[in-house]
Amino acid sequence: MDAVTPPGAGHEAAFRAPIAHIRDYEPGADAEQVAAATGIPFEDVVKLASNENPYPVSPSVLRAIERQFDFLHSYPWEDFGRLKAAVAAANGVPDANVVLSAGSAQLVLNLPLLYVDPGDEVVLAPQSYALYEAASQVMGATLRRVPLKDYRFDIPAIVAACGPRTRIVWLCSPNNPTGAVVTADELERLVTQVPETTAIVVDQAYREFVDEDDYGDPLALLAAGHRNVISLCSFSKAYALAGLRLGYAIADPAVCVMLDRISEPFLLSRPACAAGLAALDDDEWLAASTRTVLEGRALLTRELTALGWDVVPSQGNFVLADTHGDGRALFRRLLDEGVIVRPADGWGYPTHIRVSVGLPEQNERFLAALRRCL
Amino acid sequence: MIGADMLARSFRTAVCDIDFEWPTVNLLDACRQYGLEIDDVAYLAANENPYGPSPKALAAATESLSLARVYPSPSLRYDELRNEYAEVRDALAAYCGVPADMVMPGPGSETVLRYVTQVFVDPGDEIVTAPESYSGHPWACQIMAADVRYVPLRDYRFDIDAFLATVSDRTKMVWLCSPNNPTGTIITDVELRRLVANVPASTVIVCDQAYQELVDDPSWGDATQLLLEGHRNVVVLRTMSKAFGLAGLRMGHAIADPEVCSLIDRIREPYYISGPSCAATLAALDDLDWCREVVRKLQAGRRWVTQQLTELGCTVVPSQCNFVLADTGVAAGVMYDRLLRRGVVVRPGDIWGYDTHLRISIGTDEENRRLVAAMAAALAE
Repeated sequence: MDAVTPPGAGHEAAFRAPIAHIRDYEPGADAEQVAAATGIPFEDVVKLASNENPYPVSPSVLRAIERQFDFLHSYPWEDFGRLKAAVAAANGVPDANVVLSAGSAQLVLNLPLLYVDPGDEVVLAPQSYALYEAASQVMGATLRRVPLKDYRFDIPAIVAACGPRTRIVWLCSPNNPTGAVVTADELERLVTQVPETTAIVVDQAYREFVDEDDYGDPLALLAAGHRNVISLCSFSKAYALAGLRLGYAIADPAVCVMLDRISEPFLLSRPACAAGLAALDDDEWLAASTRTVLEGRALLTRELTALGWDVVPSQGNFVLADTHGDGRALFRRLLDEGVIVRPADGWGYPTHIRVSVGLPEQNERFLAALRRCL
Repeated sequence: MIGADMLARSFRTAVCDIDFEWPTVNLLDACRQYGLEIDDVAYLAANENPYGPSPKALAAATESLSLARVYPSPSLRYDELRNEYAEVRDALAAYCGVPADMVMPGPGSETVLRYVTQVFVDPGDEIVTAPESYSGHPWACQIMAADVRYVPLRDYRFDIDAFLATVSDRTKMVWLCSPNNPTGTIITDVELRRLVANVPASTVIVCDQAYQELVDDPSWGDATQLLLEGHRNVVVLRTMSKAFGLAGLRMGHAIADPEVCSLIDRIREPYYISGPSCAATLAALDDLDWCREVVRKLQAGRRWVTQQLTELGCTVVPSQCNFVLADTGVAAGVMYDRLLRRGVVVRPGDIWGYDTHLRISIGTDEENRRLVAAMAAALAE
């Protein structure tokens, strides 16, 4: 590979060495850009690339946000406590087990600040959410990459990769981009075999879409006394609030105290606080939205399988499918049709695409465009 | 089963050693204690802007809610066409009079200053700051295991000579705040230039200018100007929380050398600023008349409060911010309680070592009048 000059190399003040190794994040293509490039009206572009929830945001949530607009000049301290209590109640834990954040990605960035000194190790899968790697590298972690096996976390290999300097094991369940879960047995096996001083982080951003019975619930392990288990949850997926930045961690109170200590005091926006409170209070909306996503997931799985593709059974709001062809070339052809999916070559799946589940009409438009492309 | 000691051993020493706690406000408890209605309290403790944002910013934020379910466009680059974060970056650059590649927006300047420490501060690196300044600066450095050296203010002002005497080739970062929170004092252009000229080019000089819009003293030094003159080690922090009244939406930015911006771009999370924050910021920057009018009112309020408190016998530090630091001659905690009982909340100065001082945010005219009346009664107790 060619030597690449890292950004900042020409600057007199030396930047930290670990920063040079971080890879740029590749976001999903943007709907506005695609609209402009193809001439397809923005409203007609189908974006199924960032695992967003297609269901319209709950009207009660929108009303709650608008009520905040008289108070935008002030920091949202009073709703912060209320939201923490509501999140705790929704998860059946005391308030002391909750840390709020402006999106769970912010917690992904903060966890290495709490655990990783230069030269410490983290264990992660290369076919998972890319930010675990970058966030660990910011703190100078040595990465132990344990590839997925059959699209799933390889628990025996992860246990084998853990050593005395392993500070964090990063899991994502259901996993982005494969949609596979870590089962209850697997999670228990991992937790009992890894040293207690290693943090086991389970990113559960997609947990509300799970309908498998043997899903491994980190909260159950935490309740059983495994104090090194940390669950990350999100309002971006099931609650359709990606644009507002709201997430949280459930962890041991001692861990929460430390995570709060390294969080900004005013980290949540007022709209996010209000939206979170209203969203947790609207079970009916959540049930309807989740039902739509699960039906869409079943439809996409069925239709793509019918094309002769191998579709990974998914518990997320997306499916990963092996097209048996060039995934990125198909991604480009779909762009011309005004449909945005995610090529999977960045995760080492060059023949796959990842498709987020849309509304029924969006799923149909994707399938129709796909038939024209093939 | 893991014990508490074992769990604590898994944390980084640097984080365990942080001795600083953010001041917490439990206004609801306080109201209950004194039988106050929350809506009747004059909250003058967080340097918020009582006039709020431009109505155009509110309208834009409302409109943006139709996209609440989707992530904002994450790239700061115009790959081919426009996107939200890049538009915000352009608008901030135009407002600050710098090229777009010298701007790094973020969800609040606190978050941006953390990114700056993550880019530059290795464990054991020495950083220099003042103890009577914004506590977020040493806090962020301590997370990165910095060796923090404190140079006290002198007569409520940054002591440039003492800073220069402390800075050496081993100093990774110097933190300035101008105007300074909590004193409201400025670093003059002459002082700033002397500091920058005498600090090694390998030392990063971060100047927090959160309150810049409130300045009317022509001798104030603008670190952005020094950056534009080629001092690539200068980083300026700005915010939409103060003059623009958008504290509740979380938006701030760094102005820095393009190389530094691209390093921050590399370590931030991809979707980090909310959609409403982007929309409101763009609209607020498009309505600078609103901001100017608000600043004019805050400056008038500042003059009035300074004069009134002085007449009550307080020593008021001349302020260039939307707050004043006043020495009442009475223990800060005692005065805090006396004012709280009267429904006025201020910030006691003892956390900065100003044991008889209060930091008082400038409110609306009515809030300012309430403050002065409460203060007169409290001092007479």
